[in-house]
Amino acid sequence: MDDKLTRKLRLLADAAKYDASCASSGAPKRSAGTQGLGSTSNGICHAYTPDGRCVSLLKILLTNYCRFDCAYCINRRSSNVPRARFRVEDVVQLTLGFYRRNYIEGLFLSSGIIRSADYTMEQLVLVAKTLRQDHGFVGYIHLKTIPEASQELIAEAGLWADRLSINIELPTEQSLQAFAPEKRGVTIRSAMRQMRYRIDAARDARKTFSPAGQSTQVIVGADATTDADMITTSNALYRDFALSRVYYSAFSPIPDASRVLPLKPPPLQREHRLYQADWLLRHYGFAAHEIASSCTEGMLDLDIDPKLAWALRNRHQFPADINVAERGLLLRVPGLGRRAVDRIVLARRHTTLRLADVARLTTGLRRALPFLVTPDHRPVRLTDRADLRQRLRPSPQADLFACHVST
Amino acid sequence: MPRQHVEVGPRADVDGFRRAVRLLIARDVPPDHVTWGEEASLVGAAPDGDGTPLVLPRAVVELIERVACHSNPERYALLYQLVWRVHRGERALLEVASDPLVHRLQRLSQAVQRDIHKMHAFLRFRDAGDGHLVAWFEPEHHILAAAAQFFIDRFGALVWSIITPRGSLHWDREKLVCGPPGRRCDVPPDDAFEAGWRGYYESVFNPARANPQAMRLHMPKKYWRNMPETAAIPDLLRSAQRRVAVMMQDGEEA
Repeated sequence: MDDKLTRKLRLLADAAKYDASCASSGAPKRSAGTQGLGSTSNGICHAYTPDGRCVSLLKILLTNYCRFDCAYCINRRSSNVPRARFRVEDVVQLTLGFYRRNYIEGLFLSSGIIRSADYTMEQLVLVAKTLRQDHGFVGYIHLKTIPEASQELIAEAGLWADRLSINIELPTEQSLQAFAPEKRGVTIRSAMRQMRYRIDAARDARKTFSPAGQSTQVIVGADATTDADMITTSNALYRDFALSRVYYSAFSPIPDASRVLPLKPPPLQREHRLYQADWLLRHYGFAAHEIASSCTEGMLDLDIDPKLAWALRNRHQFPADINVAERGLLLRVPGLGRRAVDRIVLARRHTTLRLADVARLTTGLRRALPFLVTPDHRPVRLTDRADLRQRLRPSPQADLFACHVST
Repeated sequence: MPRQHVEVGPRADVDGFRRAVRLLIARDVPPDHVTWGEEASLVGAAPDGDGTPLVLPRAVVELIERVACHSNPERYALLYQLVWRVHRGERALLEVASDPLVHRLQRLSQAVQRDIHKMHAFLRFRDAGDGHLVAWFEPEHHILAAAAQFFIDRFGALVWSIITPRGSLHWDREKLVCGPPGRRCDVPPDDAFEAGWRGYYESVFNPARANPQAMRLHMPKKYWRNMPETAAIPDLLRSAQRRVAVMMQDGEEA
């Protein structure tokens, strides 16, 4: 790698790092065998940076020149960051070189808008096509999609990419107008709808089009949107466009920040709670209104997780008998994760579970205790305690939350 | 009943364990009458022949193959307890994850799984100059054979070697050869892409989100010395606060 390419890589990686998506899973199982290069996996994090986030894909922009002036973006037209632009063959060389050395699972390519939406999209597609066709690359490819680009280009992008994504950026049209004047919520949502249509149609016809689905990202803390509104929006996105993932990106201080942004970034814990609430929507059978109703003035509690917050407000539904309660109720017990619940349901077919048994099935027993009944444990007095919230609040510690690799 | 001592081979000797188990079950030897050693290569392999084939649930067989890779010397004794109970009628024992034996074995299995996963993730190849890719890795358990298929699937068209203190793997685009252990100095000292990769790693770090505890949870320090990018970590953490302060100050002055 020559110095010039290394310098460009630094600039265009720095410019891309505010996109939170790092997933490299969900693609169909593939292996190049002895012909090409690569295979797909269930998502491998090849390194972790000191912010605790994983490095799975080579995440770069084709260029950070941009015609748009989105206030939250480091690459906006009016920012004075140094600019650079990769040639298509630069990105191909970097991807193959890094992949062969086992640094990455594949490529996540995005770009500032140069010349026109179509021209930019064409360049992104060309990178993916060159990797696939000229180099037999079968590793993971995620392409950022430009909502204003023509449908023909999107249709081609889906042939080469495992995942396509369109960032919703901000949940409401007013916020977009205030912070991203060139973007329109209607255009973004219409592009997502088209994308869903193409993905569904391909699945029905057993063809391949963006097989790992589409995802999006929303910025947290730049506008006044509450957590309850955010979760309601996500729920609608999952429902209407069958998204694989919504990523939440707490806006963070950037060099040469726009003055319309709030000075103080939101606490990272807020982003963490949104991810937990998102998980409750997708994997724990919670409805958006249930999560919204356990918010305080529209915001998720920062000091306890959203499942515990819901359970404390719905104590009449507990305690759950570990040996007979339905799976759906067990999933709502604080401290019990999906895998723990699966193990409980399987084990109790063969044996009666006592407290010591449950302790071997979950690491969250302390939080679960006030909400569980076993033959040797009844929590009645605990559940009625007014200070239960204080007792269950985790001791202050650094957030161990890292990233969300799985789809 | 007299106590029995069984020797299986070193590392993950699933075949040796299988032969021994057939024999022990055929002779009805309960687990607390058996002691296990791993020096069969010195005193001759476990006896073959008169054991009866055992039919075990697939999940049990898979667990045995996984746990055999663990470096814990108690693993064969624990696995024989499992086989004994399953053979005596607890066919669904593995579904009882709360059972202390199952719990213990699952934890061993998870440790092996994690070691394999981390090898797939953190191993770094260096180009020896002629396109031959060579990597040095230090696994915690006997996972070399179990981890190999991933590299064949992914890098089947390349020529590569993986050197470890427990053995080595060599792929020539056609077949896999397992060789003797090696040393770190068998691997080239540098690679033309490493400086670029380190630069990439430094650039994707966001100083406003420094969280070294989360990083170490997923990437424990024991892996660092074989990963070229981790040399950047101390400086990144040291300068993080200053970089954020500069950004915030610029924001206020704007």
